[in-house]
Amino acid sequence: MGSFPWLTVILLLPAAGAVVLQLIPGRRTDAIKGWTVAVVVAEAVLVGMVVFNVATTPAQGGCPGGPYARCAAIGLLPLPMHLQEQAPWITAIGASYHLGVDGVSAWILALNAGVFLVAALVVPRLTTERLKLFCGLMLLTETATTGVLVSLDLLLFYLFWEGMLIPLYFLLAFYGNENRGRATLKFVIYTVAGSLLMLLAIIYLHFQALNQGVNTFDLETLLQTPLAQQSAVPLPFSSVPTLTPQMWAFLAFAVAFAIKLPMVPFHTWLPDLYESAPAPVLVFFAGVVSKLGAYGFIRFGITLFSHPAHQLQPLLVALAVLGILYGAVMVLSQTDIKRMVAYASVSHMSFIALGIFSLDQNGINGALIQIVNHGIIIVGLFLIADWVEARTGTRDIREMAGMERRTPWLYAMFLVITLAALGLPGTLGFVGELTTMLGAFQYFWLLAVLAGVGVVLASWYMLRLHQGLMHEAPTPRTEKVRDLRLREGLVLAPLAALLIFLGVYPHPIGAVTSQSVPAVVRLADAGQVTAHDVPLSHTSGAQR
Amino acid sequence: MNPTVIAGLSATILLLPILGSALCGFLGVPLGRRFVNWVGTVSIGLAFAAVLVLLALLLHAPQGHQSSTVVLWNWLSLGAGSNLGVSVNVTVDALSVWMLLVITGVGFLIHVYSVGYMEHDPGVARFFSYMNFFIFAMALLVLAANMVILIIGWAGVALASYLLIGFWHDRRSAAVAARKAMITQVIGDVALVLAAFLIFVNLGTAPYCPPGAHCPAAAGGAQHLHTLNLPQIFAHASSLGPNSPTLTIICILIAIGAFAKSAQFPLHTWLPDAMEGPTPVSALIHAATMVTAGVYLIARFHPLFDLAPVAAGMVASVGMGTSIMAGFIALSQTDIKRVIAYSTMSQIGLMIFAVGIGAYAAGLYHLMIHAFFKALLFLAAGNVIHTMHDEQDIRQMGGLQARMRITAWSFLVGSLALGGFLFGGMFSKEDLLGFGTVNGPAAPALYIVGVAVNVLTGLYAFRLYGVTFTGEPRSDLARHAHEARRVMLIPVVILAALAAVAGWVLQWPVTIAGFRPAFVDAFLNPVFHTAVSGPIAHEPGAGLAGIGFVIGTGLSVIGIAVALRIWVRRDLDAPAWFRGPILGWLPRLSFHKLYIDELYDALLVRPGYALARVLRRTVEPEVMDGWVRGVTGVATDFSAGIRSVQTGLIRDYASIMVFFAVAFTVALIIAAGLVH
Repeated sequence: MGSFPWLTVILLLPAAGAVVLQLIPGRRTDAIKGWTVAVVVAEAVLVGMVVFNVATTPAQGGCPGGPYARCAAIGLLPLPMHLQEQAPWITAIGASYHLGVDGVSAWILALNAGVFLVAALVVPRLTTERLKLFCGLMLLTETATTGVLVSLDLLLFYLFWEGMLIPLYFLLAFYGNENRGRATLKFVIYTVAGSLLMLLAIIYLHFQALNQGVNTFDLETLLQTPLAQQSAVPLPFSSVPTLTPQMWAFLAFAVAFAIKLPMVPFHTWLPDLYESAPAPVLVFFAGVVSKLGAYGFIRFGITLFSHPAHQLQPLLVALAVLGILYGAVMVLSQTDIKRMVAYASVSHMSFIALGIFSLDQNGINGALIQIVNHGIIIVGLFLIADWVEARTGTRDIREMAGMERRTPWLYAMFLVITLAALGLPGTLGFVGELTTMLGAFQYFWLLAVLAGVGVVLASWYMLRLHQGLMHEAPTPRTEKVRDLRLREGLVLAPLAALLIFLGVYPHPIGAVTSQSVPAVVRLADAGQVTAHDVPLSHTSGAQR
Repeated sequence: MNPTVIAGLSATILLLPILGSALCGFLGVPLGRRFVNWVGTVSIGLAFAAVLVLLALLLHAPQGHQSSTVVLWNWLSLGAGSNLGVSVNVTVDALSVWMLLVITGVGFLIHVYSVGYMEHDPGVARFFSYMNFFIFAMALLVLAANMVILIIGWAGVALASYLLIGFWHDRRSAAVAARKAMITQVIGDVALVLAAFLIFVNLGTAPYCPPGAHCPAAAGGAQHLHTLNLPQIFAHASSLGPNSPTLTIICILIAIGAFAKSAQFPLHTWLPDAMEGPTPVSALIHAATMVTAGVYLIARFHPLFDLAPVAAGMVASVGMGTSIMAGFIALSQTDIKRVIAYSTMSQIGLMIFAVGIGAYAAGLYHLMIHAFFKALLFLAAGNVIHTMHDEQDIRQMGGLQARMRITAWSFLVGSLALGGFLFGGMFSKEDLLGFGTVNGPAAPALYIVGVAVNVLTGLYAFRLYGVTFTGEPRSDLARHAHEARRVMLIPVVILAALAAVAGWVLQWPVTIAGFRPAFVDAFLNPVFHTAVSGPIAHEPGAGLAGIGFVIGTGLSVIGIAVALRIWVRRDLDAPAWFRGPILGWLPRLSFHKLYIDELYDALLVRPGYALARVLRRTVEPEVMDGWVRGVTGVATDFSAGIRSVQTGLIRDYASIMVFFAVAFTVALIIAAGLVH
């Protein structure tokens, strides 16, 4: 695609759109919404081109095979990118403007563009001045999430990671239902606490590199700096051998990502927030923002900290499986349809975590597939929950029944999404669960068995949700419920179609992700070797 | 066989039903009932024609080329080595064609019948859309040559079953039954997926050299079965060695999948409830095809089961146990469809027993014959239910013989075929039981149980016939019953003819003593006698088989005769000696289905919801939220403090910015201090 800065364009386009948006008078709600949709459509098209480019061209400067150390000697990159851009930024501290896209980020980028497109389409045309603010904030959020996905410089990444919170905070605090205040506060405190820890770790990494004479925040450079993997400065509390500074730094990253993902037991902000947030915000929040935690683990967590990741692997996979089961059982205890979906999301997201922490190619590819899968499913489910709430005036499943007769189209699309959510073979849900469970199985068979219990529970709670709304005799609240409007159907239908198409033919996802996952696994495996061969305290001693 | 032709025909067989399904689903409502009736049936009829072409090709294929596997498209490829790489493959061999004949042939008849049965139902478009989808999924299941693709078909039929059981949405019982069926099927799916994982990880890592290929020592290293293609799996099956525990576990997991689909104990409770669906559904899915998929699955994976005698023995025992259990329960049910459903469970138990002892051809022979007479019984019962205005309780029937002659005669043929006298079942059932005399765990113990099932079968089959069709009508509905429309009678009569003659024809030239179905053996056995296949079932000696045949048929006749004595032209109550205090518990136990549903409810469903309640009330607020409150207590207090003094959101935001900035600085200082 030549030397044109495509990544900068997709990064800045939504923000630029937000700036231009300010020129439109607040009364012109049609124009505001039209412009917003135009911007996200343009963004989606450009991202589509970028993803297509990733799918069709090989990565540059990749390590062809074998352990990475051999490739480093001849100057090959640890994480080969298909497209990248680099420019100096804050030279004094070695921060650079380094963007890149590879098979790991490509489909998440596509998901990102897709969910913002859906979100823009379902923004209600409020007649107030606040529509402009809403759309502007949404576009700013898109730039931030895109930035998280394309940044290869840790400081830049952190900037977008934290920056994302600002528009999100306003969106959550200004809009949404009556419970939003407490829920937003809870979320912000969780997230800020997590990211501050991560910032500490990033600065620590920077100084580690600086000690080696490398002044950088760049991911690729840090990965090539040997001490970034191994060095250990004893902390006062590092008398326990595994609690090296490396481990602390990993934990700091892990907490930040685990909160976003969310992993049990860092999840309690989620049901409250999902219950109170407005639908368009939920679409991109549940659809992509929570996935950034998973992306962070793959891109930074297990590559920079392969060693601690391997040491904590039993704990991490155990938490993932706990999340699958805990989330599933929690759904069964809920009666509020949005909270049901929220806990189902906890369960499904834990499959992503399970895939990642299997530290295996099948598992990590599976995690990336599951990210796309869950992104589509959760958007669909929340839209349906929201529309059902708008039609019936309630979120209580006990007050609803028998909508199928009056809403055949809603029924059909809800059915497809339900089936994907319960992992029915033939839908994308199955592909995600099959591959993540395979990765987990290869690490330890019991994990896959327990995840399988989660799949069975999923069929229980998803059918409870679907049948609860659709079957049996209608209640007073659902007697006169109206089927999907055309534009609602046009939003849902592509989601349902994608879930089936990619379930029958998941190759387009796998072909892209499997180009870049081997490099990630190679870096992650580096930790395994030392973990087995040399006790950690020795390594750190020797390195010093 | 030409791969292109095979690929084309297979694709046709798969595409026609799915196309029909899409047309009925999307266009059925606007284009109306006639369109749906034609599209829904013709698509299956054409698919059946394509299957007949496949059959012709297969029969003319030279020896040793009767199996063809073709790749349709690449499903998922996660890289080389030990990474998953699945493609959509189909295999055409005698086994898959045998199944396709049943699926599309019986399926076509049932679709034609449905035109009449659903004539008053407003949801006919939805009905045919689901039914055609079922045929597609079932065809995919039997054609699949890759375990993942097989699982997709496997789940597809479960979906069709779910949709059709819950077809009449408004009924609470239908919704519950559909959910129960689906959850049971998902348990089976998960078992199959775990089996696939075990195969993925364990099979084929030993050096393997395909026969005839040149394998230098260097290339003989670990070869991963990352494709999960069935032919490769089977070729590598012996790499684990005989009696390997891993292989046994794999086979048990596959068997669990089969049990879920085929309604075998302990995953059987969904099938009787599945009778909530329209009767053609019960005939097609819950009698003739889907529930027999478990038999197909074990037959398809025979190279593994041949090497895992422990698992195979378990399969045989479960099959026989389910068979006698279901036969016992069928004796006292009062819903016409539930009686037939338990009968199905019992007969499939026999098939599962057959494939468990290695008598694959015998099991598949009974599968086809059973498909004929069981579809017949259901459709005939459907005629009864239709004319009785959806009344299914046999206590309300009686005397229907005089009012619907053709249906009654057909039902009688079906009952005889089921009972094992003169028609279908006499050949296929005695054939598979005959293998039980010399094969299986603790032979001939299971054989003895099997002939006891014969007595039960005769009893419940003719109890049903007697109570429903003979005697005096016991309700106004029964008095006003009339014969069904022609479109519903023709399929019934064709199936009756098939049930009556299929046994004789397939058995021709009859080896009287052995009673081996000559054609069936010649057609199917090449699939099961492969080079890698281990011990297959021993043929019982001619004398033994002859004696077995006489005993089996004799006991069937005794069962039939006793049933006729008790129930023809009489009330349906249990005989006097079963009403007393001594044996009175037996009918109760049978009527309440051994209380297994109640047991599951107490052991699984209630504890599940109770656990959920505990989590919601205690664990989530106290533990999950609690620890965070504990750790972040300070921060929360801090923020709560901010919130209490702030009124505007902008200032709230500003305070967070300050919080950020301060924390950032502190973080910098700490980090710098750490390093230096």
